[in-house]
Amino acid sequence: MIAYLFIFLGLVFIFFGTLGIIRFPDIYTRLQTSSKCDAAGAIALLVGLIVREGLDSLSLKILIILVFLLLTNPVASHAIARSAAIRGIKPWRKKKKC
Amino acid sequence: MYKKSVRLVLTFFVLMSFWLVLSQNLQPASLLIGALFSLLAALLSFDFFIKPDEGMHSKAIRTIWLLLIYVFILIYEMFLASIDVVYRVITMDINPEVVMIKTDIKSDLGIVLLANSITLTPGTITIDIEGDHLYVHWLYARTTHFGHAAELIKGRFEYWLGRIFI
Repeated sequence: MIAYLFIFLGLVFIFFGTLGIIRFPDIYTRLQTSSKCDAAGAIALLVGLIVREGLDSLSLKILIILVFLLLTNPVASHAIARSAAIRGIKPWRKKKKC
Repeated sequence: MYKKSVRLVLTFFVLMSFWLVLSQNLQPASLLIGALFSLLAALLSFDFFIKPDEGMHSKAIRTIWLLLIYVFILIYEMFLASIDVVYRVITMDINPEVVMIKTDIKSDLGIVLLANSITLTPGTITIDIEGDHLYVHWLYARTTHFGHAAELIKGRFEYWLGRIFI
């Protein structure tokens, strides 16, 4: 039961992360939702799978996947953001009311 | 400065345990192949895996415990921030800014972990690093003030990383 709660939570995060890609205005803000909400969603999903499976060899493998996700996800999104900044793409800004 | 043999043996044990988890096979042939290739890979790569001046301190156990606590704090903060970002996606109430913050952590590994933690927290992305200044893209900037923004973004991360790496 707890496992399905975690999996559902993960799916909700991934859904809103993907919705954010469509709704947000520029590359940086899209990167925020696409990679970050997905990372949180994937962590919730994998934790749900571990709880469902119990402590055995398969959940050890899932744990390794989780560690690699935590290591590689920020590096990838940082690389995309940095290359966009080097190319000179200006971040979208809210119009200030004068 | 540690002897080469200590670093070699540590690398070998890490690789061998990885092999055991992945193969899940205790047949002698499998163990032999694993040990052989772990030794080969350890010989080639122990110099990169554990640097001569980093790695095993006398306080290694304490460092590992603090890192485990840190990962749990990180995941907790990630979920809080994710809920905030989901709210922003629904209402489109965003105010993105690029702010510059300064960190007090000196060691390279500590700065890398801090930058990765900031990137992993939804709502903030580290764009670039110059020395000890980090350029951070912030989805909902509450302030652009130098010190206040740093306080809000780094928050707990720098306190815990400072305890680990100084």
